[in-house]
Amino acid sequence: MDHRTESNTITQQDKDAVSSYVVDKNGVKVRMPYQMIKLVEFDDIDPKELIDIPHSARLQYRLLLMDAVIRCKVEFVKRKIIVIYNHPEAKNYKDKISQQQLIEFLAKEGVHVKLDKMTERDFDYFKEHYTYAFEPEVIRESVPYGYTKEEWQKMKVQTEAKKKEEHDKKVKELEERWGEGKSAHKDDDKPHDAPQEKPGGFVGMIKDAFGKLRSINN
Amino acid sequence: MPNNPERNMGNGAVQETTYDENLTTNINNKRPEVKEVAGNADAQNPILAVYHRSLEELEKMPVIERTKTVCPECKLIIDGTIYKDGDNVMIRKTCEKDGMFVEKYWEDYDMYIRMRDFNYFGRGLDNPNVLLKGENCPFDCGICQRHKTHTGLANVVITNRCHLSCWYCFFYAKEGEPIYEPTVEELEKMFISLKNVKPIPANAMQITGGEPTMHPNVVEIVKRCKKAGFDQIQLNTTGINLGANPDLAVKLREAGVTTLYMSYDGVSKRANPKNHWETPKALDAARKAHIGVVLVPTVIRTINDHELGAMINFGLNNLDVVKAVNFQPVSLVGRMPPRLREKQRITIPGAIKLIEEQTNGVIAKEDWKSVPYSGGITKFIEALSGDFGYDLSIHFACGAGSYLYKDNDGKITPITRFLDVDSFVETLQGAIEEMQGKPRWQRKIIAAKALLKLPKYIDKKNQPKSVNFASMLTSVLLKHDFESMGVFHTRSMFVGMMHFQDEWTYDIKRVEKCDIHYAMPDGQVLPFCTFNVFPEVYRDKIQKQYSIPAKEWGETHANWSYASDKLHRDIKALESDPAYIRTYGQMVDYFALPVNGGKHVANFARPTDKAVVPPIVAVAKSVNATAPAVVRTVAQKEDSCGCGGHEAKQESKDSCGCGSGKGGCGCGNQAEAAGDSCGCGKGGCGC
Ligand code: SF4
Ligand code: SF4
Repeated sequence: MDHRTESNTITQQDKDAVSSYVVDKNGVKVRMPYQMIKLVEFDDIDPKELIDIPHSARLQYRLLLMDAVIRCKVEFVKRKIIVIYNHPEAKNYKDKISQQQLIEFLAKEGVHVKLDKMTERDFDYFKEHYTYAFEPEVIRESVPYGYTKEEWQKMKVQTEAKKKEEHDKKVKELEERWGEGKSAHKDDDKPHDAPQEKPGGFVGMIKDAFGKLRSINN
Repeated sequence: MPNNPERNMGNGAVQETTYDENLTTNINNKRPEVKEVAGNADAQNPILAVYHRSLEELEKMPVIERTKTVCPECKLIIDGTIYKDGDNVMIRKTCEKDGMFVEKYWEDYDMYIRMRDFNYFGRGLDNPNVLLKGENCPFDCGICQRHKTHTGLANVVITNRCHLSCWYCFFYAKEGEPIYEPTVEELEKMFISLKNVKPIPANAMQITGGEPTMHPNVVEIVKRCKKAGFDQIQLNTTGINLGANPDLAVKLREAGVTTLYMSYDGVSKRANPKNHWETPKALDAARKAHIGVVLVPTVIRTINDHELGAMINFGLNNLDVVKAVNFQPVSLVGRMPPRLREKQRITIPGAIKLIEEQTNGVIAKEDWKSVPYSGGITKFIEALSGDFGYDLSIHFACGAGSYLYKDNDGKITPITRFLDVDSFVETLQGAIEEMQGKPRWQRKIIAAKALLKLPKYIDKKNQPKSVNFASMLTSVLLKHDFESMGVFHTRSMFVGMMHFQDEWTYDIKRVEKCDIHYAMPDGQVLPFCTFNVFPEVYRDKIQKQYSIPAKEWGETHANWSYASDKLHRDIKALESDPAYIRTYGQMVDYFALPVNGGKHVANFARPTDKAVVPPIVAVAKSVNATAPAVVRTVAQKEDSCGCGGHEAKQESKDSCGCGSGKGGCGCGNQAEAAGDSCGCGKGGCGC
């Protein structure tokens, strides 16, 4: 499935959707394709239906093939399926899928979920997916080769402080190099000219015109 | 007018390439076709026979190891068996639904066994970007908790627009597809996030595309990357735009670009229709900007595998600026006819063996070491310094490399010829074990003792005359004094191999150790071989979420169209450019020097003097490499010298293009040290 070809039918709504920006906590303006979406959890899946890990992985792959499924997890050991999806009421114009359609999809894949073992909640894409991926938790601690955990604990603070100092020094140097009044860098943040080589004369004119025409038709 | 020179594929199959003779757009956009052959000819072909075994034969093949892989059709995770078939290491897998698949894994059994010894597990991320355990690998990416290697080289796609449309490329936005071009702020977020990885933050960044110079803010992007703390910044480019605008190269260098990671698929225009003509100007731009260049050939059997030695020779000719040639055996992702896949498949040892053949054995297969080989050195430095070092703990089958040193007399020596690397690494390994639990001062003594043994491993007789290798290495390892590498640095060139996987060769033991990672706009980080092998659930899916539909892009970017992005080249003008004439016309064949075996590197050629080339002449590909634009009217049908299909017999009997008509097939196999049979100086074998 090529996910990139369906966009020829762009509407005003699509435009609004892709232009929706969110300001993250560091003050950076970032585009958010989704905002409030849904997380559904199907528990207590029949062990006969989740055959083994390879089948669970393939089911996960098939769920992910759908554009409306943003993330999912098929957990063979816990007999659980978690799907984060773009539901029909979500305020965006990307592909959508309803809970019912998801259940039907899973049934087609041989997994018949129990409705009484299903829970669903709102999922904040920005906070729970995007922000986590950019600032993930530390879940373990490695140590340098040739050192024990205890040795590393003693050295760590000093090593990290030294690194930070080196980094800050480098940034300062860069700022001085690129700073105000450095004429060589005054246009760095401006878009550069496209340095394309173009055929001149009649051939170039025809090629350009033909290209524009094709784009308009699309 | 289009011209269809044909290329002999062996067994009578003929492959066609099409390109205009002069004004050309998207010269590289047509996938070559392979015609089916009748009978069982493929089963007799030594390269293809491994694909045509009976089940009974397959079951008798010795099993080397078992792994997990995916079904190329349905993506079920299935068992893979890695087995020996003659000299080849193969992988076979059977999906209950889609049947059995057989693919080449590694084209040299001995080398596989030798390299496997250096495999080790490195360290993953202490703060993985997704909270998944990885049991559904490769569909738990993001990076998950299971992943075993930190980010060695981070990749960030800054645009999917490209001025070319290479047939093997899945990256660039085709007509009607959305444009993925993150803003400077969004990109900066990705850079910072990669620097926050624990315990080993990424320090090398590859800014990639599409063609990254098409992002109008590329200079600012590089600055933000540098400010985030990246020391190594590579720009993955065709070099074409930089050649046309050398000032941009200077700006990029000033902003922080250290390396141009530049596609370069062959010395000849036939092998490298992508940027053969513009490379000389790109190299000049890099010289002007003082940026090192890594040439990156995508190696495809039957397309450019005959020019591997010639590409190394090209690098050596431009050693002032070319710091490495990094070959990438093609990754055949996606659907393609099986016969084409079998013919085009080449693996790391396959390319290494061709290099040995094509360079008179100057760069032999023993000179290559797998990437995790360097693990001993990393661990040694880390145990000594007490700080995390870069762990190149990727799977041994993913990459290999060697250093070549060019001495005053032009002698090319791989580092392994004068340094007993194996014993050296073993000594370091012993020292690491001894250092455990010792205070810093004692560690230093142990390290010094280990390094004192170093001269023992250096073969003084074979050591290049212009460098004292022992003292240089001691300064680097003991004092971390990289300045002492000055001479070595200017006279050496790294040759590397990196083989990315595809559905056919997929091995989960490889991907879970991948250290080339893509940062995505939603914060996830993906190993190269999931990003590219499963684009439908990773690369394309996520990039599409953050893309701008083509129509909106058109509305917000005046005068833009897909066509307006595309390159138009005037080949005649490019071929008469002084940079082109100098670069290709003054090339030295280092391998033809007596100190390097005295035989021409395969397909070595310099541009012929236009005056002696008849206006219409059939010339062999070796000469096409650099010959002025001439119309090739005679199809190259077969190989008269039996060299394996490298060169075709010409009806004019003159393959070297000198015009004397004395003949020669140009395979290089039988050429005398003196050069050639017709005496033109370009090397034909006269068969
Ligand atoms: S490839 Fe790595 S990140 Fe992806 S699922 Fe496997 S272990 Fe996890
Ligand atoms: S991104 Fe690279 S490989 Fe792809 S079309 Fe552009 S130049 Fe070719």
